[in-house]
Amino acid sequence: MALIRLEHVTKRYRDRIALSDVTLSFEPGEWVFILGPSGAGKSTLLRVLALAERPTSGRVEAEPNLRRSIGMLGQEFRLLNDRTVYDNIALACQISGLWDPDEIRQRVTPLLDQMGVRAKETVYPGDLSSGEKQRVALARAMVRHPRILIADEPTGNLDPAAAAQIFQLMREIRDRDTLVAVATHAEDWTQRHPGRLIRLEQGVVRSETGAPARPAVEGGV
Amino acid sequence: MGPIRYVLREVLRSLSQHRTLCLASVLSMSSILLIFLLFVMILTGVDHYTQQLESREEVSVFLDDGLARADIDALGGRLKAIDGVDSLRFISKDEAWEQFRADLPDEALLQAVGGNPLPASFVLRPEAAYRSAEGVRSIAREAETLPHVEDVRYAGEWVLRAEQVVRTLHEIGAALGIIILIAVLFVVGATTRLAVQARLDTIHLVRSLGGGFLFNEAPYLAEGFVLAAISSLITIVLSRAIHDSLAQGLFHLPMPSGRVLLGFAGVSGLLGLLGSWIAVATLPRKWLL
Repeated sequence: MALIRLEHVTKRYRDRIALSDVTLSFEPGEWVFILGPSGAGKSTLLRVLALAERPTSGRVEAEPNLRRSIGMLGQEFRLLNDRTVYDNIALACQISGLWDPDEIRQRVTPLLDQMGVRAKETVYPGDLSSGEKQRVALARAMVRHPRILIADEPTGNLDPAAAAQIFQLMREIRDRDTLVAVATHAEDWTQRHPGRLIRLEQGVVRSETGAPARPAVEGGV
Repeated sequence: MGPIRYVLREVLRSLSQHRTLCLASVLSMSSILLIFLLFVMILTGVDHYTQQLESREEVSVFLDDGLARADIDALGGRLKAIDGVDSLRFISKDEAWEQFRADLPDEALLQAVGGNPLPASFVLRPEAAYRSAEGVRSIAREAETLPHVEDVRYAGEWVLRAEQVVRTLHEIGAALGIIILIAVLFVVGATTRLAVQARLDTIHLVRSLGGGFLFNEAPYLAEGFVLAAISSLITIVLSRAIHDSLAQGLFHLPMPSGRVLLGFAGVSGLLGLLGSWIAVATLPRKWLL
């Protein structure tokens, strides 16, 4: 069953059409690249997927309470400079209603280990490298155990080594049955981490490859 | 860490990050609140003074010089018959002079006055129902019409004037209160706006993570409350210092009671909270997008 499904979705900003009649379906554990030039509608598609934007027309079908299970990662790391690495990640727990310090610690520590920033947990973002910042941002996106991770140009500000590390970590996240959708200009990543490719141009899906096979007839004979 | 502790921590974080802004805000609010509190103290003092005047409701009826004893007794009888007079006391010319000498111990001045220029008098004490400015005045007017009465003096005249002054002061106080209210709302609102503007990145991020009222509004409301409450406490300390300083001289400004001061601090805090709420509620939408 699809985790989230877009049917004939159109998104219009005043006179500009950002998405036009897009129909797509996404399964848990999928690895999806959304490709296209600037202004193609990649970010809009991601925001619709993140349930942060309502389509102007069309329908978005999602599992109940999916909105609370979406992690976001952007090109800007958007860490709070007045909080330590640990507090930045813990904030996402608190926002989702988790206040018990022990429970928060139990959630945050494994992620710090996985992202390789355990030694930096008391450090402020200003003292981190770009790669470390993005790994902290990824940890923050993952601390609420999201079912969807949405990454908009996640390696745009990183050097190749740090970018490779981020992609590797996102693959590991995908392996835990999380849908990972990545919008990027850098198409070389699609060869190094093959998956489903959705190519957009002027808000329209121009091509789609590697989509999971859909049942021919739902509830069919 | 529970939600309340989180909000308090955010307030402390904001206060420490925007020290100069908060200090300027606290100083502005303290100045405004001090003007108001001093005015309230002056008003309380005047009220107290008026009450004292009201307690001096006696009417002094001064007599013509050289009256015979029989005339004095007859006048006493007619004064006693005036509506509202409860009792009367006769003060002879000599008693008046003795009293004057006791009140003015400067012998040189007394010698300069020469002989006893003071008249004999009756002091009328009104009945309970007449112990008001109006009642005292009605007795005094009647006494003035009697023969052998040279002059009539009563505190009620002053009470009436003082009451008028107090009424005017109360009106000024109400107007001042409204101005103070608007000024506090403005100062807190401006401070909150600047604090919000300085932390827009945080707000955007917290919103993108799904943070609601507790994370986006509550810290600013609490900050407004804390700033105004701190300002009111500073105001109370300053007014106490002014009170003590004046008490060493001739002036006495009554210090409001602890309960009133607590209410003052509470109301100031609530004004701060309201100012912040208005500031947050009217933020330009584009700031939050």
